Amino acid sequence: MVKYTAVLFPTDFSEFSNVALVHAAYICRSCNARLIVLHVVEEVLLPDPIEYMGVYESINEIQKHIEEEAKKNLAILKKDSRLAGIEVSTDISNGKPFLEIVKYSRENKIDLIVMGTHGSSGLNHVLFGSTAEKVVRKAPCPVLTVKHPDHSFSMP
Amino acid sequence: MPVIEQLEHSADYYVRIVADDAEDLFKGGLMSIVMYCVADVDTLQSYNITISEPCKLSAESIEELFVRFLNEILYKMDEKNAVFFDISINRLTGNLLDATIYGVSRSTVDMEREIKSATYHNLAIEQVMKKVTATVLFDV
Repeated sequence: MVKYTAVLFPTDFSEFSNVALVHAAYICRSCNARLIVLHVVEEVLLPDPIEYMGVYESINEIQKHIEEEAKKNLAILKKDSRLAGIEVSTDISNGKPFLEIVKYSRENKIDLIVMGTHGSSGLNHVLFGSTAEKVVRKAPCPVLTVKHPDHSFSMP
Repeated sequence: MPVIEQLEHSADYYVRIVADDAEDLFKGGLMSIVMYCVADVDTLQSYNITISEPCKLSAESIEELFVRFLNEILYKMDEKNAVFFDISINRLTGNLLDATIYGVSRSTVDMEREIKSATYHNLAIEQVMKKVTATVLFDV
């Protein structure tokens, strides 16, 4: 019998990504599983770091600022009424989103990943966002992907 | 020494590996990935190995173990930003692999193409005469 005890919900806080939240919550409630909300902070890649140093204090500071914002967003999400009654924890990691999601799943014995098919880019012409596609291919566990209800696939 | 032959396929990377035994087959699987991804595969043997990674897997069957092994290599290539081109196998049974893979940083190698994953489509592993033959389709 399939039993989910730890469900991972990766999010970039976009509307596209958060559409999967209710599905993750439903599964957690049904299986009495805990929910881990993960946000991956992408590395800030600038074409010419020396040139950009003049504009920003330092890349580290930008990264720190992004992480602080992510912590605030995770705290808000944790209190979301849709997650009432579920054991929720949050985490942040740094790197390439698909790789960090897969790595996190491998290292934390995740039973199921629930995520949006698209992230913040929300490209309408692609059936599957690149992060979701790579997670589906490389995850060690089942992955449930959820499409935004307004998202339609149109042939390019 | 495994022999790797690329088979006709309209979109993906389809290979036949003919090996002396099961260990040789897994080496061939690793080589088939390298042959597709690296531009000048012949130069790899002159590289000094700088990265080694344990590779311990279990599965229900040799077919599943083989596909899991290939996908583990592809995952480790992403995770470690590396190219793996050598392997030492400590133990291999029909459903268990205990090995170490060896390679170098991707930044030192001319990467030509990328493989998304190894698939079960048209997968076959069989003993033909005294050789072990596998056909495997990679999604690229």
